Amino acid sequence: MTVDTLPPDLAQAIGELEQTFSGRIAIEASDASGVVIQLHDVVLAERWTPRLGSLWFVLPYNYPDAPVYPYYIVGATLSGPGVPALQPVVWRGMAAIQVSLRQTAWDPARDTVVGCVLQTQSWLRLT
Amino acid sequence: MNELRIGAVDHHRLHEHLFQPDRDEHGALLLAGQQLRSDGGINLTVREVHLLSSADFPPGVHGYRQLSAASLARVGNRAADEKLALVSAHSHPGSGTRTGLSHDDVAAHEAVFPHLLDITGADAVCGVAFGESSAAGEVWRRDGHRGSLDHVRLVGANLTFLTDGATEPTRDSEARFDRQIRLFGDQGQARLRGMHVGVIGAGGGGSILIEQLAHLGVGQISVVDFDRVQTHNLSRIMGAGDRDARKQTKKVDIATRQVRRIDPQIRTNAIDGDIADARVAAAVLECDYLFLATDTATARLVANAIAQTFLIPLIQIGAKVESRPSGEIDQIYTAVRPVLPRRGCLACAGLIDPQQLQRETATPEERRNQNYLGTPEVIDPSVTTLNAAAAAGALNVFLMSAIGQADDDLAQHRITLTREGTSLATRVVTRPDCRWCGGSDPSRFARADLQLLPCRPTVAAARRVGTIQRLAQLARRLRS
Repeated sequence: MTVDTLPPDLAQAIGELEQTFSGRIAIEASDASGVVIQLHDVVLAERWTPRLGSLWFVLPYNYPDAPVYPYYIVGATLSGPGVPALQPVVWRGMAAIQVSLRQTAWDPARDTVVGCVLQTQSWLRLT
Repeated sequence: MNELRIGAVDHHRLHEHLFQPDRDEHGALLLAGQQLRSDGGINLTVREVHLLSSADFPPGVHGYRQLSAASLARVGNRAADEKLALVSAHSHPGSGTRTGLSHDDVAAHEAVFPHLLDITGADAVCGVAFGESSAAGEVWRRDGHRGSLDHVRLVGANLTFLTDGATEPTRDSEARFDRQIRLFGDQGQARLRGMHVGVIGAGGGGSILIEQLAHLGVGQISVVDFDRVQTHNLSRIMGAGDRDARKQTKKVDIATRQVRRIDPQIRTNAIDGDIADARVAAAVLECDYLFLATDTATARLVANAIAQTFLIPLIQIGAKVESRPSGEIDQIYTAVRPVLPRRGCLACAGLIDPQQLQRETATPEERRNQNYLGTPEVIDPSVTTLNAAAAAGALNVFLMSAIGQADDDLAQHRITLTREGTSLATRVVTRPDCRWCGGSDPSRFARADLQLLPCRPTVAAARRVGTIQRLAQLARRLRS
């Protein structure tokens, strides 16, 4: 019996993300938290500069029991009044805007990372 | 050793079918996960019970009855699809506490089992004959090895073993156990001596569990903890002293030292690590019983997954002091929560908080960033008498289970309000879509596969998958 592989749930989620966001997903590996994922060409609202940004997040190693939270916008800045769910942070050595959107009633049997990323994309387009 | 392991709820259903009022022979096909044991044997963990109608278990050509080709094809194909082993079960209605495989049973295995190994692709196929309170069988392995089934383990409120009844039960009448043998007899003592118990967490609650298990005479104790003793632990950890706090002794070392002081015959395994690591989780998979005495959501998730995936009974203990924002104490309570197959699990009971899991998974930098409201960290109170109350409750559930004296209600979750002195019992209901104990196909129930535990992947594996994914992306980009 070998333990030297990624959990099947993570592999399946990565497959679903690649299928949904084909050509826009880049994947890094993480040693402690899970897999770091980057989604390119995310359309942002008017007060972001530039209007296309990269959305980053960590798919935790114990997904889907643990949900994805938070998200990070890298390479774009925000002007205008502050929004409670958006905070400037330094994350993994990068200046980023942390997007603190949480699915409070997360159900591992029903909810998926693809659904959450789609919701976050929609929210960013309007915020 | 070869073992067939089945939850008591599933066994009850199987037994009702096998031993019907007509006193005729009846059959069933079981699908089971496969756990290779360190002694070279195999544990088969029953996930599905397919009861056979009389049409699927008709009169036989060579024996009294035989499995129909249609039932073998139907259930055999499902075994192949689900990567499970197939177990053929039938009753010997006249048998009580003793039973054995007949010549016809063995001949049928020789005729069919090689084909079943081919159809299912599994590591093993098993045939078992049940008496009313006995069982005998054999296991054929893909590598050509053919061996007897040592017993059937029923995992319920009581931990029960069905054997062929041919061997005298072992007895233990050591003088040190004289007073407790007067309660549960020398066979009960031998049962405890033969058990391997795992304790996850060797802090305030865990150290009491470990000490009491040693006094009871449990034969082997595995202790999991990654932490070291500090001065503020000394009010609660059994066996720890000032010198340990100064030297920051590992908690697992204190626990094993304490066990050796009490009874040097007990085998101890000090597992210095986090149960969230697959290497550590793998080290407790051959335990007969598990206790969970840590307060993290991650440990709850992994221990609950082990219990349901490998059919190992688990008891989670806790002691909690809840305060109001004003600082006034709201509630003080202790919790004892047994986890058994198909009896609801910690996830079904809503006791594994996804948001807490996420926080525990985040790096320290991410946790700081996520606490953007600046909520101060709260250190919960912890008092040895509360830990002792929870530990004693759990140990009595374990003891009654081990010696076969547990009432079915003992498997309920029990909260005791310390100030009021009252207890509340809750029967947890299995959620059909539960990822751990539910009956749906994606459930991990009884699959007995380490890969399916929610453990941290090894760094090497994470890097390899990352590389594979990047190469796949590169290939797609080149194609487009």
